[in-house]
Amino acid sequence: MSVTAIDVVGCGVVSPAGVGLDALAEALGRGAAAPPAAPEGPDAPGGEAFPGSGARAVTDFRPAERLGKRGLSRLSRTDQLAMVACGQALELLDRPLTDEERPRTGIVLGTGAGSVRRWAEFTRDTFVQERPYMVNPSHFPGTLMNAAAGQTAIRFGITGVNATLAGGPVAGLAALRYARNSLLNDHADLILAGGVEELSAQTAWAWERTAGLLPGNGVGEGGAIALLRRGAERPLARLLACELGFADPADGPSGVGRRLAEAVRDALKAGEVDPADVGVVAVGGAARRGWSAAEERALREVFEGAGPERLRVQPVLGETHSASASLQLAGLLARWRGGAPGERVGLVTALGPDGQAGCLVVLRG
Amino acid sequence: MTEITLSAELRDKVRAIIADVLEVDADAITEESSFSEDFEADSIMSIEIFSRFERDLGIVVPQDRLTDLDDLPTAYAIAAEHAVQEVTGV
Repeated sequence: MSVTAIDVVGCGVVSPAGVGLDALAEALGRGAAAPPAAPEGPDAPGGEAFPGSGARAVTDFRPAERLGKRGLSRLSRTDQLAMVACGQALELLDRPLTDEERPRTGIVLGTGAGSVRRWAEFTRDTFVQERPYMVNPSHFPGTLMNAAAGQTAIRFGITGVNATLAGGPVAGLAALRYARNSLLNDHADLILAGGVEELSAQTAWAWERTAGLLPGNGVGEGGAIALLRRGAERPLARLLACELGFADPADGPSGVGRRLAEAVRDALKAGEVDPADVGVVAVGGAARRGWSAAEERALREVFEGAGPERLRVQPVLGETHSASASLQLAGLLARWRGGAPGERVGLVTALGPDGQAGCLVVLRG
Repeated sequence: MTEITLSAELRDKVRAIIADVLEVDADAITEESSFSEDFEADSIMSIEIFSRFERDLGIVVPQDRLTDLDDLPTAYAIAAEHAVQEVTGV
């Protein structure tokens, strides 16, 4: 294989299916989950009331147990999700990181707008509280988009590359591409790359009011973090290529869909993969009104017909926005853990309302 | 500093707020504890504690008294001083 290959050696995942790839594989095997419901339980996101259409919260989150109680109240749910997913990925290494390895280890996360609940509440407090010091200063760091990557690096003592890429549904692919480039250019030896998206009443209402989801779908949350390195001995998968593109958002879903078709062709070419060898496509827009059809048209155009099977994680995990592409990759890895014996190559596709489109080519390990 | 006259009930509340902000058990904080040395408190936590005094107990501490809070006796003294002021309308 060419020198442009980067390997996935582990994957931490936390989602409405539970924690870990096995839980995800099981949930995907069962198919569509029960209808979304109002989040409840001690670890469910709090704050304001959710819309009646329901949502899918992370199952078995238990952040206090996994991260320790201390300092937890200052961390946003986004920070906590990132820490749990990264911690889980790090546990998959055969031994803990050494002091020599820490500066050569990095974290690259994709995001939409960081912790929406944290910045929405903080901003609101600056208007409604009586005095400046009544706005909790401990909550300020969590209003920043790169808080999760920074806090996670501090917690695990990871001092290498630290980057956060904003890009909505395509953010996960932007993070994987950035991480891949960092490794190929020898800026790091090991990178935790992926994305997280928290569930909050604020985002659930945004989806509700804009009628952005197709009927039967709910807003979800979660995160997936892939452990990446150059030339591993027994990888879970190999990232052959990741191509991103941009269309004028004014052209709407159809214009972005056309750009996605180009990105898929470019990625297949860069990864030296024949379209006929692709066994599965983990699609990004399956839950989103208008975008699902645009993505399907793009894939049919590239594959000159229905083409490979589609893996839809959204009916199981909900719409997870900036964590979606990372969870789609996790979905592929989970699927390949025990099933789909004939599949050698999978794609992860994503497209968003800001005009971004992208495609990742993944070779089974 | 004036003599501390704080009811047992208010003392418990002050201690509970501090324990909550420092994320430790109330019993872990003694009169001799240093918030910064024993519980890794920082200046932001002091502001959080004063803000909770005002929000939860109605004790308004003037801005020029918003110092770095490092021990329980000082917290009691500041709370007593301004709780009394409120009651007597000074």
